[in-house]
Amino acid sequence: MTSSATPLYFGPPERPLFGWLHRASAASSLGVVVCNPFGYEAICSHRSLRHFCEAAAAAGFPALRFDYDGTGDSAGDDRDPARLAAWVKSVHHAVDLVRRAGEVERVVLVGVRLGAMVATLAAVERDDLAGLVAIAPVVAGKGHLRELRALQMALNRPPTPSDVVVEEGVQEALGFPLTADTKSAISAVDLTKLAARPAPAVLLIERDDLPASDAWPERLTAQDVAVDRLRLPGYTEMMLGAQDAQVPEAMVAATTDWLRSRVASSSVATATAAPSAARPPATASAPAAHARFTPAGDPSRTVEERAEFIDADRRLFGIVSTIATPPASRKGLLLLNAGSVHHIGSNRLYVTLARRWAALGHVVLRLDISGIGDSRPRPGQPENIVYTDDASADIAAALGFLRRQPGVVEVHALGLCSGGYNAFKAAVAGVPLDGVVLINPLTFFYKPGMPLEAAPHLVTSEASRYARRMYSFDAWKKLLRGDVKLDALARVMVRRVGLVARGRARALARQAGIKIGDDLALELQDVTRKKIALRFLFAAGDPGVSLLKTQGGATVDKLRRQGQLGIDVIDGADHTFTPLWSHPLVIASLAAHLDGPPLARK
Amino acid sequence: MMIEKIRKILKDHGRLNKDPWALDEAADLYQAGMTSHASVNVMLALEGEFEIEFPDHLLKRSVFESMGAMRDTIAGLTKGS
Repeated sequence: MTSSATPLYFGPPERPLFGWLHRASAASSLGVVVCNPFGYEAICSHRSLRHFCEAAAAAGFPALRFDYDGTGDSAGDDRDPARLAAWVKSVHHAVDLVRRAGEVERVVLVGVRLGAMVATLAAVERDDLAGLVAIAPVVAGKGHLRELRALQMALNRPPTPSDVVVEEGVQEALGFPLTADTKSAISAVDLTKLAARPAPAVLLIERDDLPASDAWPERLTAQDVAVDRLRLPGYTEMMLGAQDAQVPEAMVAATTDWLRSRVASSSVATATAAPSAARPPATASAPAAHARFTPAGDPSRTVEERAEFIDADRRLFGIVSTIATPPASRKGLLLLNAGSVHHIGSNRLYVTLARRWAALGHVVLRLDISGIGDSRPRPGQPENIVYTDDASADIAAALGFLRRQPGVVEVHALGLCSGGYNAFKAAVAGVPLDGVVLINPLTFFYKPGMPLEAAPHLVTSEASRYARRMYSFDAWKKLLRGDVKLDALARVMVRRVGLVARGRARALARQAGIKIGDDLALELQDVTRKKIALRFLFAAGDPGVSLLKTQGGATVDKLRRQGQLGIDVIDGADHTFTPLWSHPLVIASLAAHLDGPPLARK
Repeated sequence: MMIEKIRKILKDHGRLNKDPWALDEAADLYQAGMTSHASVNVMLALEGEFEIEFPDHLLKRSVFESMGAMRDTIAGLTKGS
């Protein structure tokens, strides 16, 4: 990201919105507001949307990316009422901010997927926009909800356990809730039926992998909108999941070119700052680096959040959650990226956890390690690298930052998947801390360049699958028919045997006082010897459970008996705890371990 | 004929790690690398190709698990139309 990007809070003081303003180096009359897609797609495309803003700023247009009310780092959540209206209102606040802080006269909205629909709904309520870029837009809300339903059903999750509470009327969309109210509002929208035009010029960037519909562009043309249409690759790749997602370079370039050639130089007249009747009243405060979040009806749980660079180089970025009057002694809690998911965490769980713990008096930092989310890579390093030796240095800096916060006498690091791995490896490397929580780690010994399909967790899980299938009559029929790939089965089982054998060989060597590399048992012993509390939280089917037992051997049970290592297991969930019903269970497990006051052993 | 069209759609949208023409009609497409996201793209492409709409009760994994399952479902939806 460019050094001119500034994190800020804006909008109504009682419902702060969070965003990043990417300033252009020279004065411009045109600014850009980027409107996120919804939920999981917003997480997948976070890095790509940063690239959209950087490209716009580099081309001379200040650009804002931000989180709608109830999403990302902004106030509220998806279960609040009137979501669609709140998202549209958020766009208005964002446009007003860019006009004010970016010092521009005209603004273009860039919306992706549901963000294109939200941008359009905001655009038809104002008459001061210069243009709209709609990328793979959701034109009919009903169809989008159906796609989300299909996607949810394609996930092949284990059946929901019978003893959990499932929210009535809520549609689950890959870890994010759509309430009946939100569904109804989205379902009612059809952009081809809007009476007003969104802007004098529209760039429609359609995905190149599905047939395009002419209905909306034809409608726009009939409304005297100058419509440019492009079919470009990149949408599917942008949504592959945060780690695998690729920046849609062709879409970024086309957007910037269009801003430069079609809009910035256009003589198309737009109204000036005069607000139309539909626009929200100007209740916004000046943008700030911190904000207060008060849960509805509960001022005692008011939390203050600050957007901070925690190092001298202003590379490491995170959000700090705390309360105004901290207790005399409290914990510092560090939440670390789950893979490439930026600091809000999978399913936005880190935001929920951070605000919860902050309300209890702790100080929480949800950090992006170098090259992930909103933290720049180290010099010479590429972005989006999850497993890196440098993570320990980032974690050491973050824990140092937490220790300097008032009242902090104890620090813990936790994270899902690579976040837990990185926290544990920092502890092994000697970074001083008091506790580590690993949530669904996939490996304990990542090697640079290790392809995920060769990672030990896949050997373990595939072996488990084959072992389960050995008791299936259908599987034996397939085997006898020649439908089973014997070479694949043999390869997996041999590697599994290898893992177990290596584990036993290590145990023997340890007894003989010989050190062998990649010895998890030794690392567990080493960490607990430093008085670092170890906690594991697993989804029952996740490979980490058996990996811990296989590689940690008898040491795991020994440390458990001694109370130095704890393991919690949640049945029926998946690797990232996507099911909504599992979120309270994750929170409860972590709360039991971390809610309490520090042990004050300092 | 229908299977050929399904194979073509799988090639364009299925993100399989195998050539769809090398797969048996009953082969498990998820085992062949099709992700959840890809299966939704396949669904949308099938709807465009065969001018159908999968009703809600057919939005389930088993319908898109194999080419044979897709063919049978599409045949059921287009019957009489």
